Amino acid sequence: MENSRKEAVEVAGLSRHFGSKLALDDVSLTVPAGSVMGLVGENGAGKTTLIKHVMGLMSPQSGTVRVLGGDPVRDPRGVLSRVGYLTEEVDLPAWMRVHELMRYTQSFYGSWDAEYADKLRREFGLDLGAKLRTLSKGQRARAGLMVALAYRPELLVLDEPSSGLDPIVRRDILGAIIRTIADEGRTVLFSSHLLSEVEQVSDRVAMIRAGRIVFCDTLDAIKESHFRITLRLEAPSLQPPRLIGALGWNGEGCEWTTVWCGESTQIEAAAAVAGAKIVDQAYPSLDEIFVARVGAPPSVEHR
Amino acid sequence: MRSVAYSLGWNVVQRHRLGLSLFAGGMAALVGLRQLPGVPSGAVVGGSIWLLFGLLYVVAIFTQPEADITAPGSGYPNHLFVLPVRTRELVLWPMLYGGAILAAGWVVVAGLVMNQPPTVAPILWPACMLPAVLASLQALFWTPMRFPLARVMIALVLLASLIYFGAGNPLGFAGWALAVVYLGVIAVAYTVAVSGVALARRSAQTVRSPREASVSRQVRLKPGFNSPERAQFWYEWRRGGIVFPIVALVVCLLASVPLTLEHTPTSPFRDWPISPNVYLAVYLGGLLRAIPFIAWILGGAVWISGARASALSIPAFIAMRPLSSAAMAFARLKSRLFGAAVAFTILFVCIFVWLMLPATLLDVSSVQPTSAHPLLGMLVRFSAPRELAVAAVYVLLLFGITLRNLVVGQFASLSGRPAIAYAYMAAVYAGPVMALSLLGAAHTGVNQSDWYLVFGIAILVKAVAAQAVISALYRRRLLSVRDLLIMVGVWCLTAFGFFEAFKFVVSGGSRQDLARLIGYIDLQHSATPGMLLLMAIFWTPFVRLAAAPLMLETNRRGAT
Repeated sequence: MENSRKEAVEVAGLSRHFGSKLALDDVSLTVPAGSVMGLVGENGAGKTTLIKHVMGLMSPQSGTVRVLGGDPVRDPRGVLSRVGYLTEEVDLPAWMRVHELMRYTQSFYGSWDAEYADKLRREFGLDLGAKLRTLSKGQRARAGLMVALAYRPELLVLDEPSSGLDPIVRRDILGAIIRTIADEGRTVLFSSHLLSEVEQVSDRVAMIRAGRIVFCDTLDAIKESHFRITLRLEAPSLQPPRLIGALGWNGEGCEWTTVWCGESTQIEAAAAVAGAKIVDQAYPSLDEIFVARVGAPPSVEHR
Repeated sequence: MRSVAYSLGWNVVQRHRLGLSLFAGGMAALVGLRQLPGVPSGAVVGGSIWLLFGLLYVVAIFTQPEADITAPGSGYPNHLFVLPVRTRELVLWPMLYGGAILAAGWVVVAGLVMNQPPTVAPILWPACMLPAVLASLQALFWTPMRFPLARVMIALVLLASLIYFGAGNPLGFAGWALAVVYLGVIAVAYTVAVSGVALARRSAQTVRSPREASVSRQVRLKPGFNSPERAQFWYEWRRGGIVFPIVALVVCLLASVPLTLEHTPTSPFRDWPISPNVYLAVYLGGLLRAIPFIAWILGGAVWISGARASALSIPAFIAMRPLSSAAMAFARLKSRLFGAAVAFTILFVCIFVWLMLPATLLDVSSVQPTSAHPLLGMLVRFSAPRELAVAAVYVLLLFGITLRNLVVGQFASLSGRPAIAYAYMAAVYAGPVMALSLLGAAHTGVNQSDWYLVFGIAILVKAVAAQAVISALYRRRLLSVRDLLIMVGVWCLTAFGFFEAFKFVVSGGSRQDLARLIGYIDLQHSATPGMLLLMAIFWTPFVRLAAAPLMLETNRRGAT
C-alpha cells in the first residue's frame, strides 16, 4: 500500500451518454486516501454509473478516472487487485459453492488472508458446501462481502450494498466498513439510499443529481452550511418568501420552513431581505438536506 | 385492457422485432425472386439456406431461455410468473406463436420457393415437425431439472429423433400420418411444459436437495490456484467447457447401445474381405461426424437469443477480476480447447471399443467366414499404410473442425450480441453458397473459376475484417505486437496444416474402403491444390478468434 498517495480516487471531467441521455455530466470528484466517502443521490442520478467507471466497468467517454494512482480500464490487474467491490445485485456465480467461491477469488489477490476469510465466513454463518443459488439474498450479500474484504483491499467500493436487506445484514455491512476504516489508511466509497447509514460512517459526502455533483464536502462542513429555519411573515401569503439559498419550502400562511444553504452569519440578513423573521433555526439531518436538495432546482449549488 | 395472448406475443415480438422483420423480409425476398422471370431457380433455392439461420433464430427466441440452461431452474422468463395469468396460458401463447411462425415459414418457402418442378418438397409433415421441435425444446428448457446438464443431452436426442422420424421415415408412414404423430408430440410437450412452468412458479426448484446437504458436511477449504489465469480457466471449464465432453460421453454411450443388440456381420463394401458388425459399419462414420456437429451447436452461435447471450456474456463479478480482457478471453478459448481434447479422448476410447468387436474375414471365393478377429487387427492387416495414414489425418481434421466449431461460437457469447454472429455467418457462409448457386445456375454447373471467384471474395471479406480486428486490438492495447505476431504465425501454421491435410485426404481418395468406413465424404475428386488452399484459408478461423478479446473488452466496459 502506498501511504504517500493523497487521493484514492480522482475523477476529472467525466461525462457519459447512453444514447441521448446524459448520465454523467462533467463530473469531478476526489476521494482522499483513508476517508469514507458516502455517495448519495436519487434513483437514476448517476451513482452506479459513476461507480462503474471507478471500477473500470465502463470506459470514460470523456474525462479521466484514476484509482489508487492507476487507470482501472488500461491496467485492471494493477488496480482492481487492490480494490474490493460489492454491488446491490450481488451477481455471484450461482453454480459455485461457497468454498469454490473462496478458492476462485483468492487466486486473483496476492494479499488474500485465508484466516481472515474463514473467520468472516464463520461470522456470517456461511456453509462451505452451500451452493450460492440456494442462499438467501442476505446470505449472498454476506458471501460477496466476505470475498470483497478477505484480501484487505486498499479501497472498498460498495454500490447500494444494503438495498433490500434486513437490519442484521445491514449491520454486518456497516461493521465491514468500520472494520475497513480501522485498518489504517484504507478508503471506502459507498453509495446508499439509507442516509442514516451514510451519516453514521462517512466523513465525506458527495451528492449527485441528474449526473452532476451537487456538493462534495466533509459531513461536518455540509451540516454546518445547511440550516433548517422557520420564518414568520408579517402577513399571510400563498407563496413562500423569496429567500436566496432556500432549497424548498413547507408551510402556509405566515409560517414557512425551509432548508437553507449558506453562511450562518448571513441568515438574518437574508431573512430580512425577504421581509421575514426567523422563529426557529437548527441543523438539519442529512436526510432533510437530501430531500431538500432533491426537491430543489438543479441550478442550486452548494456554496 | 389488452388480452393475455396479445401481451405475451408483444413481449417477444417487441424485443425481437428487428430479427423477426429480417426473417420475414428474407422470406418475402426469396418468394419475390422466385416469381421474377430470368432468375435461376438454383440461386433462389441455394439462397434459402439463410432460412436455416432464420428458423434457428425463431426457435431460440421462442424458447426464451433467459435463465442459464445449465442451471436447475426453469428457463421461462421469471418476471412473467407474477402475472395474473394461468400457467397454461403462459405456456400456450409462446408455443403457439412460435409454432405458427415456423409452420408458416416452411409452408411459404416449400410451397413458393422450393416446390418447383422437378423438386417436390413435402409441406404437411415438416410444417408440423418444426412446431413439434420447438414445443419439445420449450418443454425441456422451461422445466426445472435437478441435473441440468441432462437438458443438453435430452435436447440433442430429441432433435435427432424428431428430425430423423420425418426425414428418414423409418416406419414408412404416409405424410399425413407423420403430421399426426408430430401433433401428438406437440400435445405431450405442451402438457410437460405446463407442469414444468407450474413447478417453477411454485419455486420448487430452489429446495435444497439431500445431496446438497451431504456435500456441505464433507467439504474442506482448498488452497487457491497457482495463478489468476488458472483460476479463470477453472471458472470457464466449470461454467461451460465441461458440457461438451459430457455430451460427447452420453452420445458415445447411446450410440453404443445398439451394438449390444446387433450381431449381423456384413461386408459393407464390394470386394472388401472384412465383415464387421453391420451397425458398426453403418454408424461409425456418423458417430465421428456427430461430434463436430454437436460442437457447432454447443459452440454458442446458433441458438442464443439476445437475453440469453447477455446472461452468458460477462457478469460484473467476473468483469471486475484483476485480469486483462485478453487473458479472460484466452481462458475461455483454452477451456473449449481442453473440452474438445477430452471429448475426442472419450470418442477414441469408444471407437477403440467398437473396433475391438470381432469381425469376420470372408473367403471371397467360397463366401464362407473363415475366421473372426477384432476388427482393429483386421483393419491394420488388410489396409495399406497410406489408407491408415489417411484415416488418421481425417480424424485429426475432424478434431480441428470440432475445435473450430467450438471456439468460434464464443464470439457471440463473449460479445453478448448474437446478432453480430448471425450476420457474420450469413455473410461469410450463406453468401458464398448463394453465389455459387447463382453462378452454377447461370452456366449449368459450378466450374473452377466460379469457385475461385466466390471463395476469393469471401476470403477478401475475411481479410478486411481481420485487418479491422487487428488494428482495433492494437489500438486498444489488448494484445502486444509480439502476441499478435504469434497469433498470425499460429494461424498460418494451422491453415497450412489444414491445406496439407485436405490434400492428403483428397488424394487418398474416397474410394478407399477404410476411408468409406469412417465416413469420409466424397468431397472433390477434381479439387485442385489451389481450391484446397482457398478452402483451408476459408476454414481456418481468425477473425472471430482474434475478435474474442475485443468483444469481451467491449462487453466488459459497457461501451456501445
